[in-house]
Amino acid sequence: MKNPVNKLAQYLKNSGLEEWFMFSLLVLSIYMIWESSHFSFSAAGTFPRIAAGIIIIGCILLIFQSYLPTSFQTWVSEDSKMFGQGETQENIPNADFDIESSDVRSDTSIQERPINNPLFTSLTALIYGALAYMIGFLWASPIFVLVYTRWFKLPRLISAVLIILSFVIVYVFMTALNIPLDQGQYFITKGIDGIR
Amino acid sequence: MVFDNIVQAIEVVLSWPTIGWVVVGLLIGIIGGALPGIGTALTMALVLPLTIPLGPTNAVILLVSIYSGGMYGGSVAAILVNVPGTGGAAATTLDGYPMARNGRAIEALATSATASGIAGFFTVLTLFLLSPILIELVLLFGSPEYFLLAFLGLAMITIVARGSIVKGLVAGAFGLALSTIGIAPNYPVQRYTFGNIALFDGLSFIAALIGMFALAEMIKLSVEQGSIAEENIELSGSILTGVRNSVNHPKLLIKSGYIGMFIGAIPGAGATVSNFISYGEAYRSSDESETFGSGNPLGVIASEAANNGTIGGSLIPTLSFGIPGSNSTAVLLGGLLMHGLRPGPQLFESELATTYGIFIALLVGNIIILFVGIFIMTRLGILTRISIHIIIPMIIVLALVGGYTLRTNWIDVLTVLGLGFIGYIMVKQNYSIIAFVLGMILGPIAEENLIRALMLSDGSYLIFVTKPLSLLIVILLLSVLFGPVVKEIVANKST
Repeated sequence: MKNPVNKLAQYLKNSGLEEWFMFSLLVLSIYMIWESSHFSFSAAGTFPRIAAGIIIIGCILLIFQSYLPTSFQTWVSEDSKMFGQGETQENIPNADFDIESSDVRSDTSIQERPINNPLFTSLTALIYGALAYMIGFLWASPIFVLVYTRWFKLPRLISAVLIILSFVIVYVFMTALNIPLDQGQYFITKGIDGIR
Repeated sequence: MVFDNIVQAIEVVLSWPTIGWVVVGLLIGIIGGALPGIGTALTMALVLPLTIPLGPTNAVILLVSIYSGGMYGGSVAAILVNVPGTGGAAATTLDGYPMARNGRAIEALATSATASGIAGFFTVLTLFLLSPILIELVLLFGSPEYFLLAFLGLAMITIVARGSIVKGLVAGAFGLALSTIGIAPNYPVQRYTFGNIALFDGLSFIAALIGMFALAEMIKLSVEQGSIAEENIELSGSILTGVRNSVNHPKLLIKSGYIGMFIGAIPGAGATVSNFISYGEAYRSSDESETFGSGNPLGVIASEAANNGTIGGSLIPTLSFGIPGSNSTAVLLGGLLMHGLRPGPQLFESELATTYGIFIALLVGNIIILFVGIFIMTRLGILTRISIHIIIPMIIVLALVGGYTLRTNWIDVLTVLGLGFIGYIMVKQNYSIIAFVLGMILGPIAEENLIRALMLSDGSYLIFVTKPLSLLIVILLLSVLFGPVVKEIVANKST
């Protein structure tokens, strides 16, 4: 009989993003239940166990949906669409409208780049966060906007305007909320006053 | 007491700076709603951190005004470029865009503004009249009922949101699970903090909202190029004709508004649903139905009256039971909680003046939309020609800075980033992010009510089925969750 660990490893190797997402949720839920048994007050673990239990049951149903009776398969896998609409999100117009086929041009230059645009946006947002931690939002924001606008080849004038705008936005936040957004944890630790 | 609170609310809303926040909120909402890909919920989520210095009343009124303005703003892109700025304006494209193509863009925008303003006004007025009944109803609910309502709200969201019911429940439970991080309510226990003091207060649901609605959406939009509008629509037509279109069809206007209000009161349904149902009803009942879809202003009236009518309806479950009707009301709920206002009895007893303030602000806002919408709409067309890559970096800056300013805690920035990436994956894999967000928002409320209910019953879970109202909610919950399965089994057996 195949080693269950090997079977699991094989399953994960052949899996896509959704399977990895469900696997992560399962691991998280199992950890939450296990950890809740170590709480000094067991009642504090009731609600986390309920939530984790729902996740585990849901993930198991999704993973093994092909083994379920047909009626349950429909319930597990298909959009319910009570009103004939599959989306309640008011800010996603392309839920029911095929934007790519109407007025917005799709990105045709993906082949020229080492990474695609969503991955680039994700990575730069992450690096922006890290940079802001090190040097402060006031200085990191213009750098992020510069990198972003250069990648997407926006005209230099617009790029310059956006860089200045990002600086102004952060400065307004800093002044209005009295939060030291000009100070980093490792560099420029004294902010604008330290530079003066 | 009710009368005194209404008078107090009127005094507050019509005074400075509150009336100023109503106007600012409407303008921000109109702009946010007009920018396709941005929309009302994201705009509200980004503004949330900025409401921290405002008092609870001004903050909530600002958010509600953004919500109201956004509903009208969504029609601008719908009419000018056939792409709705919000889901609630989707049906507006069907006749609004043909009107614009036929040289009646200004007439269409004026029709939309008038229909939105008048229908919104009447439905909020109705909400006012219903409020004494709502107060009595809300006071019937106790801790067991509020605990069950949280799960009912989640269940209802899963049947209308994207993806299957099970995926929706998993997403919602994921949100509930993350909401348990931090020090437990009622017990001195650190849960899942790994000893990190920054996690003692748990994850901020506002940061989660910003991550899910703002960052995830921007990552998704970054795949596109250019602006939404490719061609310039000439802005021509008559404002007066547009106003008359709406005013001369009062029956359609009021009927559509109330369709929106009724559907808005159903958790999860929202304006995306109401505008189509209203449009369908207008088509069905019209003598000139063959002209629908080719520039009939009645189509614009039906859709826009319904989506603004939805606002009043969606406030009923949000304010009464803490069950939001849509993304935007989920953010509004987050704003209420952030400012210490709990949905339910508190909003209808000690904070009744604030609640009436919200209604009055909406009434005033609908009048302002009528005038502002008509007179600035000719300038709104430029919003649809802004490149998406100009908007995205600004939104990301606002998202991360806004996340940090919530509690000056870097965990919140990590939350925005982490949940932004997870939200993008969830959307791609058809998991409902509104169910997740709802789980994070309702988690603490549900848990507190669970603990209180168990204290009342000395630890017995029977309290959730022995009280008639609780039993009713349990039956509703089971029907919502398992109704589709039972229906499928019965259908299979009969064939």
